[in-house]
Amino acid sequence: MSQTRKKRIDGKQRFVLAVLIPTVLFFVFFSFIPIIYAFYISFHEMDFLNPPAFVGLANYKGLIGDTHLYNSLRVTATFAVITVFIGGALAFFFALLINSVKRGQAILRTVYFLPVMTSLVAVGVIWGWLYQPRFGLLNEVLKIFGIPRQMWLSSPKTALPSAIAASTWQGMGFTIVIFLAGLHSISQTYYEAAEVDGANSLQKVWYITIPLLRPTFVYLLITGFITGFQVFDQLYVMSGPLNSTRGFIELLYTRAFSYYQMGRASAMAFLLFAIIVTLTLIQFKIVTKTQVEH
Amino acid sequence: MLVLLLVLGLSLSAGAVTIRHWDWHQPRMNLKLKYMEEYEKLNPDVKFETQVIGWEDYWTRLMSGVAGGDVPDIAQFHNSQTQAFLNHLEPFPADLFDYDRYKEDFINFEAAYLFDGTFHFYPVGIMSGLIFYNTDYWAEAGLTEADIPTTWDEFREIAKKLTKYDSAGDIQVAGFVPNGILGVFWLDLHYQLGGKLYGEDAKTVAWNNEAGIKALELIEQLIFEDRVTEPGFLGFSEAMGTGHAAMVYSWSWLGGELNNNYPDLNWGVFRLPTFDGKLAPGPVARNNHETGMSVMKGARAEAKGAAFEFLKWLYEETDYLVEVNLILGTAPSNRNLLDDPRIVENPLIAAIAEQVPYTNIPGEIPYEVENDYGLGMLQDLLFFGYSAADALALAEAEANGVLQERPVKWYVEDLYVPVAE
Repeated sequence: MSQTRKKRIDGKQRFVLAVLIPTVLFFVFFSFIPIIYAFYISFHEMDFLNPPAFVGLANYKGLIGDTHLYNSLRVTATFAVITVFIGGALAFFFALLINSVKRGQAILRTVYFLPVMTSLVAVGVIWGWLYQPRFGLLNEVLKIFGIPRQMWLSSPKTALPSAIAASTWQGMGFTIVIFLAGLHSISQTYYEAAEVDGANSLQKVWYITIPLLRPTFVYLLITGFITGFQVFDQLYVMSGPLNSTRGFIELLYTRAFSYYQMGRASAMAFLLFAIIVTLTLIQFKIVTKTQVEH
Repeated sequence: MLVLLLVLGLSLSAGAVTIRHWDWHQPRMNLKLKYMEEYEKLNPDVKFETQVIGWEDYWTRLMSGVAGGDVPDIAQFHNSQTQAFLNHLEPFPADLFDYDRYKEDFINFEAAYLFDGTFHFYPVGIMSGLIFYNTDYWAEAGLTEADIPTTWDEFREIAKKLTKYDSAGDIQVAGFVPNGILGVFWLDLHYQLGGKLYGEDAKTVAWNNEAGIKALELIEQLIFEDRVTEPGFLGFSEAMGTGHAAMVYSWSWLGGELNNNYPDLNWGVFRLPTFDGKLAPGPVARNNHETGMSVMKGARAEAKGAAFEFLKWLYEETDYLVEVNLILGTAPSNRNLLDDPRIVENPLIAAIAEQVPYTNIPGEIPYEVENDYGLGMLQDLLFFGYSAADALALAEAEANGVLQERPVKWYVEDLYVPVAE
């Protein structure tokens, strides 16, 4: 009896192992080993075309005082903060509106989700046309209202906000869907009880929806910052003048594959890793503290 | 019987070789395929395996191929990658390729191709900056070929004449568009005024000087005084293709792009005007060479010999060299081909051929200096309120920072020999 049970467990374990092994191997070969190798490269001067030369901490020291790197960090942080907070607030607002619609909610959800499934490059090209200062649609619309022509992506002052706006539009559908899933999980009895107590719509959102959506907010905050700090495609496609939209990953990519500075690019990758880990830990700390206080 | 057939089959295939080749340019590859097919017929033991990889990925693939030991036997090469890849290219063997003849026949052969006495990529064509114009707008304005300007003063007047504004005073058709390529255009003007790209030994750039400021001021006048274009206007290629530009500055590759993407557009081309109208003594512009193919050092041993044999055969084919230059919009590097009727009758190639003897090749320009932190900045600085001197000072400082970190090794700017008037 016990031997049959043991065999059955062994069979299950074998199945689990068989399912897991390809994933683990994939992770080891395509993530773990490259990460270790990138760490090794970060201590070398290397271009893959010549033998690597050990340079110690020089690549890391070179990051100190690197004005291009500081600029890319500023661009990336601005992008991450605005997309997480303003993009998140807008997505929450739209999710509430969609959630209140009785009919056609699925269609609305699909419509909002469509840009998420659209190629980032295609989105960049389309927005590039919309933003074109002389012949673009946006300026034509502004002209109707007597508003002067804007330079959008063509000015160092407005390029980053313009790219962020397009990117927020593109990614908002995903955030809306997450919020909608959270909203659906809140029991209607809370709202009914609040109505009995005479709460208005705003009070219901403030005292019921937002507190009960805390896990969703935490999830979106953390993942939003992580993806925000790793932004590449959006800023690469919708680039502005004078490196005004050059984000951290784009600079890293350019240094690696256009300037062939693999060592320095790897050092940048680990700096970004450290920044993201630190930010995530701080966020966890704040969230845990407020949860305890709550 | 079966054994006999197997032995025969093996012995027949023993001399067979498959040459692997990569390129990033589909039209050029199409042409090569035609010649490869012919070569395969002449040499049944040689087969080709080709791949087209877009320019953006090409060099990354080649780099990872070098690192991983998986490179094509023959790679299409571009001289912007000389510093990075030279050590990985086989020198062309002197017993197969006649170095002395090449020194005589090819323009800039020693400056642009010889490294430590050997060459590693074949000379094919030369490109330079030209003025492309919309012939319909030209005719509408009552202009003829006789009005083609030879000086920048004449050019300014024609650009003003060709600019069309809408009722609100906005530019509908720009008389001249250097947008998107302004830094490259500026460098040609800088050369015309006696300036250079590099300072001594290419350790710095030499931009913020009298010639540089005067060159940038001409562009400033075109934009802000003459209003023949404006900041935020379409880039030169799109503006020309969509009929929003009467004239644009571009390197000669634009001809191929206009033919492919805007087949209904009627366009012409002329050599760059100069400040005094003359080409000599030059240089009046920068040139660059559209290089040919290279045999990789990491190529398979059995394929290397066959690869060089094929290149020798292909590059001896006059028809191939003429056809590839017509596709690329380049003047043949081989002087003997400049008289070929197909070259002479092509207005684009004829315009480059006229200008090329008066152009200079500076050597390698690091990617950062040409794009992100040097020439590429000039347009934006000028558009957003910097004076010519301030724009040049900033761009120069950025470019010098790059050169300090990554010195240029291939530097031939000073080899230019002024042409007698």
